[in-house]
Amino acid sequence: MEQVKDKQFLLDYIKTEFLSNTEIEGFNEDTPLVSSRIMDSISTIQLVDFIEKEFEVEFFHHEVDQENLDSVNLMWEFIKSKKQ
Amino acid sequence: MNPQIKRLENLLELSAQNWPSKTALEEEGRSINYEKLNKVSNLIARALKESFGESQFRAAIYYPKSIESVAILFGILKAGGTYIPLDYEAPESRNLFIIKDCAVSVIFTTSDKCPSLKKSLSGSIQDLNIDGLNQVSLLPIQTNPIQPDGLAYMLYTSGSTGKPKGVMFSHSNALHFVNWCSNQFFPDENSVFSSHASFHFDLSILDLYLSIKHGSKLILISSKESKNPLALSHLIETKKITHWYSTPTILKLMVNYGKIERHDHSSLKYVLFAGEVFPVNPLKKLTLLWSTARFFNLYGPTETNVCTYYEVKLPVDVNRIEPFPIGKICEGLKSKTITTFEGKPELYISGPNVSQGYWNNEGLNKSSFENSEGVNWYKTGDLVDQDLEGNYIYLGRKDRMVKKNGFRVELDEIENTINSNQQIIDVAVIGKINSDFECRIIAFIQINDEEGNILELKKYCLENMPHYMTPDVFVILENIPKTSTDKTDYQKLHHLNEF
Repeated sequence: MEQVKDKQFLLDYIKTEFLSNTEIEGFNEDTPLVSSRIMDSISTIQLVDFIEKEFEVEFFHHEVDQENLDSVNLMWEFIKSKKQ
Repeated sequence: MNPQIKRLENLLELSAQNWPSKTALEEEGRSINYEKLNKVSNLIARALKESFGESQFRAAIYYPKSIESVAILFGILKAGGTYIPLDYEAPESRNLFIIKDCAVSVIFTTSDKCPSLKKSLSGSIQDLNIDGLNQVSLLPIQTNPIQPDGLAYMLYTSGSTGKPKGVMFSHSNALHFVNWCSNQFFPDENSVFSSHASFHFDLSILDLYLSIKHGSKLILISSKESKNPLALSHLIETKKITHWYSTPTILKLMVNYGKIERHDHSSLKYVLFAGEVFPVNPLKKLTLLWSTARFFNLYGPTETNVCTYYEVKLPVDVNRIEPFPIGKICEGLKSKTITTFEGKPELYISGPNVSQGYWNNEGLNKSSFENSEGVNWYKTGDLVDQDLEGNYIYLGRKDRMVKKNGFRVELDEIENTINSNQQIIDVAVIGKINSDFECRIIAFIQINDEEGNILELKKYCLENMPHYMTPDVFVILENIPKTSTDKTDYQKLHHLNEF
């Protein structure tokens, strides 16, 4: 069965790729990732690449920004706005 | 060498005469020409001279990279001072240590940093306003201890004692290096340089002074843009950059995520990289994507700036797997290798680039430099070999220093910082290098059971160390393994972890 590419899919990817066991505790859709420095600049770029490939959207260079990437909810809003 | 150029600020003064209306610096949405940059730096110099007269003084630049920060830097030099660029993004505690360590008389900073600085620093503090510059405050703190003559700037790097150390450079150190660059990379008034590295990082010396010397345009890349490969790709295309200089970490990001093939980067003539090993696969890809450019591997510790160089022969052999050599010694410098206790050859460098030593640290000066027959040699701590053509090949370090994203990191400094946290009983930090020559910093810790909290420890690290020094992984151990002489058994730790 094909994987449903929803918010949960994004959340799971971040959990497995970027968070340590201790950080997963209490992690949710609103947890700040960039401003809290849980994710560094290189992880952020990897995440952008993942979103572009998996959700078939494209970031302009100025959109690679905390405003769109700080939490799973913000990322989801960005993906939705791009899909419209 | 032009006899009119005796000090670094002469480079700007001459370019202001030769190319007054040419753009010197460009940042997002703003630019300044040579004449104006020279005038603004004169204003700053005049204000400083009113306070300090002819005395030697040190000034910290606690400012984001900007047109202002370059004008401040030249203003300090013109007033006869020594500048100390601080990492604007590093924790304030670290910057305060540096400010106190080198006893600066002036701090140039933004208005938002002022209140907490004033709170943390004692002594009489005074704000000044200089025409044409917003948000510049001068806070005179102390009078001046003695310093070597003609000191232009100090760069602080990670120190194994747990505190950063100041590396001192004279005007002639920097000018010798810049002149060598002129003969290698042939810039002129039509060249466009990237300024990717922060000013506290020694890579910035090349792009800043070389571009100013030749009347070129320098594109100041903000800290935010500097880590965004999409923004960098856009910048190279729109600004038509001819000379690029950064760490391989950034170039690898550009290859993987910069969508280079969608941009026109044919303006690039020289791509210079330094600070760490560039694995050959991404380099190979980059040479194909940037087919108009020549590629140079530049090597040198902060203390010597670039001291060896190697031009990558194109096209890169498809079967090559080993990284390129660090190359041959730069003209005007000397190198030799001395066999260490372990029987490995360590690279020593002497010549006019080599630093004046560490600020206020006689012990370290004695152990890091060797004076033999009147020649001052810097012991790099880097182990090298030579190939059949006489190029040096980098083998590794003889001590516990690692390179993380091009930044120099003393693992002992991390240990000392973590040790100062209350929940820690014992700590050992190692750097694990993977097959792509990337370093992961792993901290093994023994903690108080009742208080142990890794998240808080991570936060503590981020508050007390620059982000590139914060461990990537924390591993809790019941006991840190020790050798028979009761020292940390790092060998065992290297085998123990599976990260």
